Amino acid sequence: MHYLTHFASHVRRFGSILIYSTEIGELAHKDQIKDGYRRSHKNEAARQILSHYGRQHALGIRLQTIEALSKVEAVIVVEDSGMEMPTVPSGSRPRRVLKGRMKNTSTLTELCTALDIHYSNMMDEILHFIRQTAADNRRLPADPAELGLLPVEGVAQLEIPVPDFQETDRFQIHRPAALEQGHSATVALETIGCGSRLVGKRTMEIYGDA
Amino acid sequence: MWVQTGGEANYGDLRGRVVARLLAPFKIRNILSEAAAVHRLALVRILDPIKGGRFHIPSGHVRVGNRINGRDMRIVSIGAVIGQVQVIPSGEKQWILNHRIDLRTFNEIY
Repeated sequence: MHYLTHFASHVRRFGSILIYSTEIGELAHKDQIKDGYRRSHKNEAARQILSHYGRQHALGIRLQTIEALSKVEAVIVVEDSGMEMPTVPSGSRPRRVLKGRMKNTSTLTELCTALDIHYSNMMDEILHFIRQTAADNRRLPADPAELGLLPVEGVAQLEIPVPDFQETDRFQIHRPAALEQGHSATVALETIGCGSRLVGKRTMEIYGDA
Repeated sequence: MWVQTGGEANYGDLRGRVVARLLAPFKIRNILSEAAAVHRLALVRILDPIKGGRFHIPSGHVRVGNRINGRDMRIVSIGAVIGQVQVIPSGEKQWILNHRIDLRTFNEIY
């Protein structure tokens, strides 16, 4: 009962109280009923008015969804680094990046020497990979002699954007580094830009052959 | 690293993923073709899932180990590399796979 005593002063100061205002209902009367009635064939109009309102409502929601999705595709926020990355259209994730060019790895032979891998083993694996890929004009040659002539660039690190859990616009950047064969290595894994609920940096130990 | 090599029916609870060590990412340009396409590949060493990739009951984790028979090195496109994985040594050349390191991995490996 005490609550009622404040109504008069509230109306004088702020105007009509929203929950008791008839404006919303009057406006709804126009949008929800009159417009629907005008679009009906005026014969048993109640159902047509309801379906008109349902259609308008569904279309409104879909338009808002399209608008929100188009915003998501525009920019990816990488929070910890303060960077904004443009996304690739059609909702796909940003590309993986190869970083840190290795010296003296301009051919497959040199790459094998740098990695201490037998050339024939490497060639077998590449040929196996080529046979699994689709035959088109982008495909690598399946002739070992031709393969040996192709320019190669060995790199030390791979950056992989991994979408955050139940997010479409936030990514953790995983940075696995190449391991030397026969050695154990500790690789710093920087986890970037994934909101306040994720840790900033972690270190992951990766074990090589003991 | 996680490498997606098959459909979800493969490798038990790993759902088509295998664990691999990154040996060498590299680019190779096919200058012999008109397109001169650059292929971004990675040489990896595959670790085989133990017991077909099903959970090890006492630890509650999937375990992986060095491949004993057959070739263990593979060339994969870097597009097949999904992300990093944490493994914890457990016994002779075996590792426990930590699928609880983050929500995403926990959601996908169970």
